[in-house]
Amino acid sequence: MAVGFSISEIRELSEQLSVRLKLPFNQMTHSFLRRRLAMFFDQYGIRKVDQFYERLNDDSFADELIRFFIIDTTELLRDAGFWRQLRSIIRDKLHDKRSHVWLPSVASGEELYSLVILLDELGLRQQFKITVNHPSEKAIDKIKKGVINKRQMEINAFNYKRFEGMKGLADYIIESDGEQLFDTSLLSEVEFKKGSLHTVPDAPCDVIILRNSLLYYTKDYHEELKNLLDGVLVSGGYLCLGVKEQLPQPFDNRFECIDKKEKIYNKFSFLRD
Amino acid sequence: MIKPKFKAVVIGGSAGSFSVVSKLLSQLRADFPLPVIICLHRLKHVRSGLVESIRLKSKLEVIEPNDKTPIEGGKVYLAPSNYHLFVEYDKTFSLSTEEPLNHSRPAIDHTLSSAAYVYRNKLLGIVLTGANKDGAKGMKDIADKRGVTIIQDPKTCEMDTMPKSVARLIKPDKILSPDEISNYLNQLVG
Repeated sequence: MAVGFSISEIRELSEQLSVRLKLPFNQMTHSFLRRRLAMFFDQYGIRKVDQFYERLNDDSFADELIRFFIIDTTELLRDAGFWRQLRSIIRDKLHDKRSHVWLPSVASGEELYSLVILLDELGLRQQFKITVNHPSEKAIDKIKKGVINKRQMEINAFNYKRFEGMKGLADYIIESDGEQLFDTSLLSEVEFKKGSLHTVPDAPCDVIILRNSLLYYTKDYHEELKNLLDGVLVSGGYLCLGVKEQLPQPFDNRFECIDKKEKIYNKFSFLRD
Repeated sequence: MIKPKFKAVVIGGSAGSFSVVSKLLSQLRADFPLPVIICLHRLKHVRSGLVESIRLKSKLEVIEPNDKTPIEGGKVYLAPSNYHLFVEYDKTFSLSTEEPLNHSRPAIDHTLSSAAYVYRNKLLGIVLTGANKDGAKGMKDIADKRGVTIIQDPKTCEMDTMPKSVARLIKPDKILSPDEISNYLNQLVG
């Protein structure tokens, strides 16, 4: 029987977790917190909140919890139409200058590998610096090792085909000790930062890819983040959200939606950086 | 019009349910005042087509909500492909890319359970034809909160696994054919 929580318990837990783990648990949506906490308690056989707090003192347990709350974007090249569109933008608008892409929240690395495959096929991988955030060191190590969710291989290959890639997905996969891994040499221009969405990169960005990561946060938090994203993105830069996400009003006064279906926004180039 | 005793209708379905939903929406009164929240199993990578097809016959506006879309009466909301759809306390939708449930994303259980938690005894849950057990747990959650549960009569289903799975878990309040479901919904609002 799964553990159930009252509204006040959820509130208290989210506040406690925010303070202890220095991550915005208190800005997560109620239904997300409720079901993820119930699942986590169930998975770890925790019956009482006190027991949970006690176990949080263990760093590896706390890390497990953080990773449990960072949700996968699920598959390589998810929404192939988006990646085709981004490829066109990079090829047409960003091909002739050193550019910087920021992925403020990656979960299992599929978005990152999708991006580096795209750049590799355009012959622009060395020209793009990529900054990637994740609050868990363990998760970063896993991405750096190129670990692939085996169950997703079929769908990854299907997406690659729909992306209309120039090679075969197999060209980006290597075998090591009988295990299939992404080719990590693709990550040569990638800098990993241990941190949350608020850990901004050192240099301004030409592209921010933040797809499906804000789904789990409240509208108030979206408002809070909007200025941060705006501040990091150069004038004329591109912001990419999930296909069912949207910019909060009146943030869109500073951005033009250049692809309504794929949710790609262009920051007006007349704005000051 | 008499004030309805419900605040929302939530519908789940899988194999064969598209035609049932289309028919149901074509028969629903144009002034039906409640939000109708629909979660159907659908192909992950086909993002367009379904909502447009459902729109063709519906008298009510049919929307595939974005994350944080407010829930309004008299509108039909269809869970988007490859996202779970949840109802939030502030009567908005939230979406998620969490792991599939019952091999499905969107999963009917997630939509039904979250709606049960928010609307409690003011929720009407309906499970239609379908080929797996998704929706049964969500219907139990609706029943536990004293909402009303309806399953499509298995005799009228293309695949009866889904409504039968509900009936194994709870005693549904009503077992109705598609035409009877439309009639029942229409008479709710006088």
